[in-house]
Formats: sequence, structure tokens, C-alpha cells
Amino acid sequence: MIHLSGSSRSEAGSVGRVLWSRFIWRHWCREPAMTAMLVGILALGVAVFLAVRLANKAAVSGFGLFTESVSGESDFLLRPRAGYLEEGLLRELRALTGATPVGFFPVLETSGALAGNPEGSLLRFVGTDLVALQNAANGTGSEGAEKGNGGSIFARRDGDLSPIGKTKSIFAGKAFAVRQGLKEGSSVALLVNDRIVELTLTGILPEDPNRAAVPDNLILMDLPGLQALAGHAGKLSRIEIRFPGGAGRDRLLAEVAGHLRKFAGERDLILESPEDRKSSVTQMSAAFRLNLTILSGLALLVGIYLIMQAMEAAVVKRRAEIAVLRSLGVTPVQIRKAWFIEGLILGLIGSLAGVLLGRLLAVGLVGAISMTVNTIYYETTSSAVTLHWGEAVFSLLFGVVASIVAGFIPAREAAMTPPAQAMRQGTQGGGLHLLRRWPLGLGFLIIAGILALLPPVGLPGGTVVPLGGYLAAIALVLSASILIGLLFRPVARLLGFGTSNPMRRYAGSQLRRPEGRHRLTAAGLSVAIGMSAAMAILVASFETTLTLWIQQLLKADLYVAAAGSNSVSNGNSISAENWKRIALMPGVAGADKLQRYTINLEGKDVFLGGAEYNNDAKRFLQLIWVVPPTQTGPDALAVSENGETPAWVSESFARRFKVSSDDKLELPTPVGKKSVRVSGVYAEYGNETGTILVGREQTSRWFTDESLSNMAIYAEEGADVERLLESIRAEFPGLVARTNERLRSESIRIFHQTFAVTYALEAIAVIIAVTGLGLALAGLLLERRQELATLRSLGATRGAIAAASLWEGLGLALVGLAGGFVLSLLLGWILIHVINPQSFGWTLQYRVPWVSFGALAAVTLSTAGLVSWWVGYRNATLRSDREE
Amino acid sequence: MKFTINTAVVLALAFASGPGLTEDQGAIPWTVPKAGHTLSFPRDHGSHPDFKIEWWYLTGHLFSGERRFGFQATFFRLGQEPVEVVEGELFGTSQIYMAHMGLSDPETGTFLHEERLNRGGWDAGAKAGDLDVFNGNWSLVRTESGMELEGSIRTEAAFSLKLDPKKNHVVFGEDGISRKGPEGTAASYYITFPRLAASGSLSIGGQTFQVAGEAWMDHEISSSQLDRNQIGWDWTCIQLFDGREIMGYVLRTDEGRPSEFSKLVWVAEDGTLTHLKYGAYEWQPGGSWSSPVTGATYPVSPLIIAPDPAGGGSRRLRLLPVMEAQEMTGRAGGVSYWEGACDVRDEDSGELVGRAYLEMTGYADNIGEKLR
Repeated sequence: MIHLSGSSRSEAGSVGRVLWSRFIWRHWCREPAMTAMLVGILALGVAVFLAVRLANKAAVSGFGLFTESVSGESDFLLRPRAGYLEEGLLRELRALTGATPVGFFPVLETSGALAGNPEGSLLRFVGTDLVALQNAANGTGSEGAEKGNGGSIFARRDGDLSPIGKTKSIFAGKAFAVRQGLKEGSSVALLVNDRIVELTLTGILPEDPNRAAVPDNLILMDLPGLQALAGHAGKLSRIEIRFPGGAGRDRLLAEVAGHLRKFAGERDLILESPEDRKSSVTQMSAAFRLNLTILSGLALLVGIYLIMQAMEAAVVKRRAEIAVLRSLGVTPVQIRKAWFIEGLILGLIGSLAGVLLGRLLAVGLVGAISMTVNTIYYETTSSAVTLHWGEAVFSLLFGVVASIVAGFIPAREAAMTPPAQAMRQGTQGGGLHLLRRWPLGLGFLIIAGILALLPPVGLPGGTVVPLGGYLAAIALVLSASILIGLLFRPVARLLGFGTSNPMRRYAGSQLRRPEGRHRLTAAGLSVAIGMSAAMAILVASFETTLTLWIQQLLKADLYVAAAGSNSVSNGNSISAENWKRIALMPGVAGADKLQRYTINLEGKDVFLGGAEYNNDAKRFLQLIWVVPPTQTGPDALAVSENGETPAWVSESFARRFKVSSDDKLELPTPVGKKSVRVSGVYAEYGNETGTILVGREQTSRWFTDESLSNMAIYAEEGADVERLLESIRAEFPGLVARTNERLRSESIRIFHQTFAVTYALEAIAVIIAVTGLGLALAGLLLERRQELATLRSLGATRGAIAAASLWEGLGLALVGLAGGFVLSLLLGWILIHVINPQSFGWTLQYRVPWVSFGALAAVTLSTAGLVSWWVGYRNATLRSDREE
Repeated sequence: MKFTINTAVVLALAFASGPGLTEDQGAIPWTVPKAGHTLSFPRDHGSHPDFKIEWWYLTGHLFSGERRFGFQATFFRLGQEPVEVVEGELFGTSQIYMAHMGLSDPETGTFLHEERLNRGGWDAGAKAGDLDVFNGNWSLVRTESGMELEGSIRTEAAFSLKLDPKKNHVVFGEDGISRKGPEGTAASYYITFPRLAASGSLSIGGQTFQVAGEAWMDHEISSSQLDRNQIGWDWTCIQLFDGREIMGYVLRTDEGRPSEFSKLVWVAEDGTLTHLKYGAYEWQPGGSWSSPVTGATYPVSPLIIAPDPAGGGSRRLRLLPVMEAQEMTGRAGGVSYWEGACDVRDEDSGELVGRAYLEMTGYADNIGEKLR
């Protein structure tokens, strides 16, 4: 006997149990495939979301300071605003801190590449005092951690294997050694600037589980050895400052930090904590990674629509039961609670599975994301993906909350339905009322328009978030979900138009009176299609713009660069001796020359380029102007008559520093501040950091450096370019020489690689949406089993019923597609004209990739057709007396 | 004399760039101490880069009211044999400097220590011609009246001491050289300030103390002190309340008996030295303390029996550590040893007669193994 009207705790509990076992669990058991698919969709949504977040973390984790992996974290870094530090600063620092136990660890960092693969990934050469490095591990260690520190690996070597003071002795991580097939003592040919050098792997850096992993592109050397090898005698990239552990640490830090700040301030050096440094660097790619995260939410968003749809279906299906329960005295609150529990459990199971799946997916994504970051932001190496607990819990909560929210509206309807109405088990009625209110959709559309006009929001740290743009996108999605209802009638008419095929007409009639689940399915599909197509618009616009840019920019015959040029952090250069030899080679008419430096302007790292253009009014690199300067000839960057140094800045730079033509800039250089006047703003899509261009005459003086990062060569009229290429390659094996064509295709290839992750995310969203379509149709057919029985008794074959399902599915897909495409045109507009310029500062031309749209439509329609036909065929023989 | 013989060799091996370095062959012809050589000061308080191994070693007992502390500060210089290396002014390769600091606080039972290794250059060095050595923020410099020592242990303790000789320096060994083995090269110039008045400040555990006391300083210069069959040694410096000092050591061999080169020297109040060979004095192990870190067991309370040159037959002196846990567990150097402050008791009268520092090596590590 069940006491349904009871009010005591135990009775309430028993009501709950009965509701659970009879009302929820029974249904799940009856349709295990459907339940599993629902859980699967949710799992996939959560998985993609988590995977992108984990991969984002892992992809940029490689931007670390090497000492983290060798001897632990420093307290401060001291680095110059431009160029290098003089090593003599060390003595001044020691004199400054006197008898206080502060550790100063000098570091020189340069870049290199594998000799066998100069276009491959960049190697980071790090030079530090390998003798003193042991004190870092030592001095900061606690009394308990006596043995087994990493430091001694440098010392415990005798004879020729001692790395101290050697120019050819290197250490590398295990990953590097394994990949290159090296053992301790083996030699390896590496490129340093444009020279190939044979180096000996003296040792493999030990991995310490308590420290950051050793990046797989790290090459560690004794400092004077690297200074000599890279030609930077007496120079340092930075000094890492460390306070030893102990009870007086905090007091000492407080006492000395002020002196250090003053010291740095007086010399215009940067003193910062490693966290500051890391965040200021990773900040650069923050917008990119935020965009990816938002995109990764897409799959989950589509998942929410599908869960809502499935819950809605369950409400409709169980309406009779609800009515019985209500008439037996179960309160609406209890019924709502039962739905809540159902959503919670589904969400929990799906999200848990999603977390596990996400961890696996992340591994696949890391490579692609870190490559993008490398290409357009800064050099990084990915670390192994680890299941970050915070992220896992966040994704889990996100999934659970999403499924509860998805179940909320249907549950409310279920609970509110009066028993009398509910008793009429119906195929019509119910549904989400909100989705039927087209004025609401119109309202969202107007809100979206207003939001799109809002300016971006600046976050502390300099990241700019186009919040209005994102909110506008959400409003657009909501609007589309509602307005899509208006498409059912025309599509239904289209299905029935000019045909006497009864199954098509039957399918049309189903769509003419769309149910909640029709609407939700189409909405889910349109969101997936809409956002995917919008991304396609962004990519197409980007590609068009970039192709034009590359065509304009790449007009020389040959391009010569130092190794490892694909990364923006490439510090390799062509020595003055070598480029001067190339310039004199037979067949060379002239060249554009560029050297690039990183400087720190107003606390932000930017590129400073020294450009020297080919002295030929027709053949020299001509930039695409956003704000054109008055003079654009090959010598337009020469110091003007009134002694001013003209400078051209990239669009990203102009946005980051809010400068435009005629503004003055004070650039930090190794010889002090130099004043330049901005005379033009040019388009640049190669990096997001921003570049200032001045004449090479200036930079070579400021930096006392005649080397180049790359040169564009113009061949003499009638010269054999291929032969010239071959002879450059033969004579300079340490340089990368490419033809114009090759460089163009290379650039486009890199561009596509950059968007690889985006493509994958879109595909997943569309797959989820089509799966959802099948799920919805299967549910609909189940509900219509009496109708199906009637159709069968009227002579409809299994094939005919499958055809009806096919048409209905196609109709739904068409509604979703049409709505999706319209949505994508608007979303694309927001991406290109609001989000992109606000977060990257890149002006793009709006391009709609009609071919891609056609392909997307064809794939969606054919998959939808196939799924619908299969669902119809399988369910055609449902018996009418089968229980719900 | 300091445990350094072994550490020095371990480190010399570690950093030597020349091939197959042993004690008697090397690319550089290191200078060898010569009998009868006259040392000249202050020049010979400074560095001797033509010798391979050199150290400046200080120990002492400091007092502040009821509190007492023991300290050790050692600066080593290890000449290298650079081959095909870059010798920078700031990052040298021809000299490696190692330093150790230790501080004992028996009241709280705290023993702190730190090791440091640096190449000669901007952050470590030793001046030739006068006493001026430094390693990071640690330094020892000759002053008008004596010398000044700056030391610290991470950020847990720091000390700044003025050290003025109460007695002039002495040079141990017959003919001015101290022999450590049968080979002629295995010898050193051994210069010692047996009694220095120490004063200054010491901070530990967030408290700063004005301290005063007495210290001992050794300065040893050599090119090779290696004895192949040696597995470790016990060494002590005793400052007796009667104004005399004792420096004594026992070199333990793998045959289980002390080497014949073991020695004990009495320093009279006027600086007169009395050298005794093993046999004339005895060193009986006593007491036992096991290190929780290295697992080694040290005989921390030895009994030294030696004839008193001032007459009155034999003295029986018991060393009693102010605390047992005074082990320096080697990290950078890789060698662990016990080095601690002791009180000295007359075993017969039971009277406290002086203070000492005791050093015991070769208990935690098989030093012989490390050398071969």
C-alpha cells in the first residue's frame, strides 16, 4: 500500500522511490538505446568543452622559464627593454645586496634549429652558469630534501664530458634525446643562427616530478660556452633572482625588493616576477584561446537543445502517467522534483563520461593549438595533457547544470499540466510555449543588434574582450531558435508541393503542425549549422584577405631566412657576412632586408623591425596601407630632413597602443630611448603582437647589429631563378631559401593548420546535431505508433513508412539548414566586424564561402536523410499496443 | 686540517677538464710545498693559484648572555686544468670555489648548514697577495686589526663577525710543511690562527644576538694531499682555558689502523709548537650518534690521551659535543661529515678545561670508493 497523501518524511521518501522506479527508471530501461544516445550527446558536449580547455592549458604551458624545470622557480626576473644585458650588471647587483643571501642566476637565451630540418620547430638554447646552478637547488632546498637534486648532474662528470666552459657541450631533455636518437656522449648537428655546429650531448636533463617538465626543445649549455657559440660575448638575456628558503625569506624579500626595483628603474630595466612574465606573454594569445573555448561550448549548447528536446518528448509521452499521479495526489512539486532528479542523473552520468572522453580528446587537440600559438604568438612547447581537477569539476558542473536547465522548462510544463488535459494522451499540445512566440524572437534580434554596437571591455592585464559581440551572438542564437518556427509552414508546403506521393504529403502534414521537439531539433540543428557556417565565413574572409595580402607582399623572386622561421619568436639571424655574400651573387639584382627585435614598450613586448627596401622604385616590398604615409618609396623610412625618424606601425600595434599617424613614440633601445614619429599604419596578419618598422640604418646603429632575420631577393632580368636558388642552398646550408611560390603556399598551409582545431570543433557540433535529429525522429515515430499501425493497415509498406520518416527528417534538416544559414550570415558579420577587430585588431573582408555552404548543406541533408530513413525503417513495425 | 682533502679531490675530478687526472699527473705542473720555505705575511694569507687546493677554515664558539652558538665557515679554492674551454672574466674555468657554513644552536637543538659552489669570477674568488675571499654573499677579508667574516645559512641565519688574533699565527709541520702521506707531494703549508677574539652579531630564528667568543682559523695550501689507503679521519682543534691549544688528527686507513702520518701538536701560550706522532698520543673513539639522514654512526665523544709538554705526565681529554646532530650532509660536494662544537673535559678531574671543534669524515660515504 502506498501512502501518497502522507506527509511524514518516510512517506515522502517512499513517494520519491516510487516516482524514481516507476516513473523514471522504467522508461530508461524500456529505451536503453535512446537513453544511451542522450547520455552520449551530453558526454560529447562536455568532452569537447573540457578537451579544449585542457588542451589550451597544455598548449601554452611550455612557455616557462627553463629553471623551473631545472632548479625551481625564481622570485624575480631582470631583463632589458631592448637587446641584451651586460654581464657586468651581476657585480653591481652583488654589491647592491651586500651580505644578504640573494642568488643571481644569469641566463642567455638564443634560438636554433636542427641542422637536418631548418624549417622544423625552433630550439631554445639556454645558457646559464652550470656551476652556480647547483646552488639554486641547494640554497632553496629544505633540510629534509638533502639528496638527489638535479644540480649535480652538471658537475659529476670528468674529463672531456665536463660541460664547464665548453662551447660544444649541451644538455637536453629526454624527449629531445629520444626523438633525435641520441645517447649521452653522442654528437648532433644543430643550427645556431646560420651556422651548422656539431655539438655533444653531455647529459640528459633529469625529470623531477615536483617540477615543471623539461621542454622538449630546450638545449642547455654553460653560459660562457653559449655566449661564445652564439656570438654574444658578455651578454645576458636576463638575470633570474632567487631568495633562498628559510624563516627570514619574507623579511628579506621585502627588504631587498625595494632596492632591486630602484636599481631596475634607474637603468630602465624590467624587474618582474615570473608569474607576471608568464601571464604577460600568455596574455597575448588569451583572445585566441578564449575564442576557442567559446567555440567549444558550441557542442554543449547544441547538446542542451537536444536534451531539452528529449525531456520534452518524455513529458509528452508520460503525460498520461503524470495525470494518473496527479489524480492520486502527487503534488506538482513532487513531479517537478522527479524531473529534476532525472535531469540531474542524466547530466551526471553524461558529464562523467564526458570528462573521461574529454581527457582523451585533449591529447589530440594540444598539438594543433600549440602550433597555432607558435605560429602567430610566441614560441611555446606543449606539455603532456593532465586532467586538471579544477577544469574537470568545472566541466562536470557545466554539463550537469546544462542538463538540469534543459529539463527545467519541460518539467515545469509537466508539473503544471492539469490532470484532465493530461489524461488526453496527445501528440499535439504541450511543447515549449516560449518557442512559439515569434515576437520574442524579434525582440532578441533587436537586442543582438544593439549589443553588437557596444565597445569592447578591457580586462586588467590588457586583454580586450568583445563582450558585446559575444552577447549579441547569444541573442542571435536565441532569436534564431524561436524564429525558426516560422520556417516550418513553408518547408511543409515545399514537401507537399506538386506531388501526389502520400508519404511526402504525410510528412508535410507533420511539419505543418510542428511539436516542441520538432522546434527544438530544428533549433539545435540551426545553431550547429549557424555557428559552423559562421566560422566558415570567418575562415573564408580571413583567407581572402590573407591571400591578397600575401600576393601584395610577396613579389620578390627568392626568400632567404635563418632557420626556424615559422615561429614569431625566431631569434636566428643571417650573419652580415653571409647576406652580403648573397647580395653579391651573380643573378641577384637587389633585395629587401629586414631584421626584427623584440622590445618592451610601455610594459608590453612588441616587435621592432629594421627595414631596408630594394633600391628600385618598381621592385620593392610594398605594404598594404590602413593609413598610408605621405611617402611610400623604397627610401621612405630614411631619417627626414628635420631629423625625425619615421616609423610605420602595424594595425595590431596601432590598436594595442592606441596610436595613429603623426603620433610620437619613445622606443627603448640598447643605446637609450629613441624618438620616432608614426607616419603610416599598415595591415599585417602575421602576428598579433604588433610591429614598428623603422629604417634598418637606425636599428643597426641602435643594436650594433648588421645581421638580418630575412631577405627578399629580386633576380636580375632573365636570370635563372631556380639556379640561383640552388646555388644559395648549396653555399649556405644553414639558411632556408624558398621561391616566391613555395613561400606563398607555405603561408596558406600554415593558415589552414591554424584553423585545424576550428574545423574539428565544427564537425563535432554538426555530428551531434544530426544525431539529435535521428533521436527526435525515433521518438516521434514511437509516439505515432497508432498512426503507423493505421498506415500499415491501409497498405503502407515498411519502405513507405521509412520514406515518410525520410521526408520528415529532410524537412526538419531543411528548416535547420535554412535557419542556420541565415543565422550564420549574421553571426559571421558579428565575428568579422565586431569580435575580430576588437580582439585581434585585424580588418578582414567579408566573404561568404558558398561552395563550403553547399557542401555543408549536402552533407547535412544526406546524413539527415540517411538517419531518418533508417529510424523510420527500424520503427515502422512498432506495434500499436506496445507500452510507452 | 679540515675534511677537504677528499672533497677537494672529488670536486677536482668533477670539474677537471683535462683527461685522466690523478694526484700525480696533470697538464698543469702545480707547485708543491717545499720544506724550509719561508712564508711571508700578509701575502701568504692570500690566495696561491699556483697550488691546486687551498682553503680558509674558521670555527668558533660564540656567546650571548645565556645563549651559546658554534659556527663553521670554510672557503675552498680548487685549481682546475682548463682544456679547450672559454675562460671568461666573470665566468672563469680555472678556479672553482666551494664554501660551507654551519651553525649550531644547542639551546634549541638547531643545526643549520649550507654548501655553495661557484666558479672563479663575479661571484666567487680569492685575492692573491692578501686575505680577501668571497663566495656569493659570504666573505672573509683581512682588516687592520684582524679579519671580518660575513656568513649566512639560507635566510634562516646570518652572522657578521670581527675576528682579532689573541695570539699570532703558527705554521704547523716540521720544516714549515705538514706531511699527509709517504709521497713528497702529499704535503701542505698549514697556517693557523689558534685563538681569535670573535665579536659581532648573529641572527637566527628571527632574533638577533650580539655575540662574543673565540675562534680558530686554518689556512692550508697544497697541491695533493691524497693517500690512497685512507678512508677518513678524525680531527680536532682544542682551545684550553689555560691559554694553550691542541690541533690533532688521526688518519684512518683501510687496514683499520691509524696512518703513521697522524699528528697532534701542542701550541704553548707563546706560540711554541710541540709535534707528536701517533703512538706518542692516543685517540680513543667514544660515544655514538647515528644520523637520521645518512644513517652513519659517528663516535662523537672521543678521548684524547697525550703527554703534556708543560710537564705533569699525560693529559686525558674527553670531547663532549654541545649537541649530537651536527652533521653536514653533503649536497653540492656530495660528501657528508660531522663537524661540531664540543666542550673539553679533563677525564681525570672531571673539570671543564676548554672548548673544541671536532671533525669526522668517512663515516657516511665510502670516500675511498669516490676517489677511485
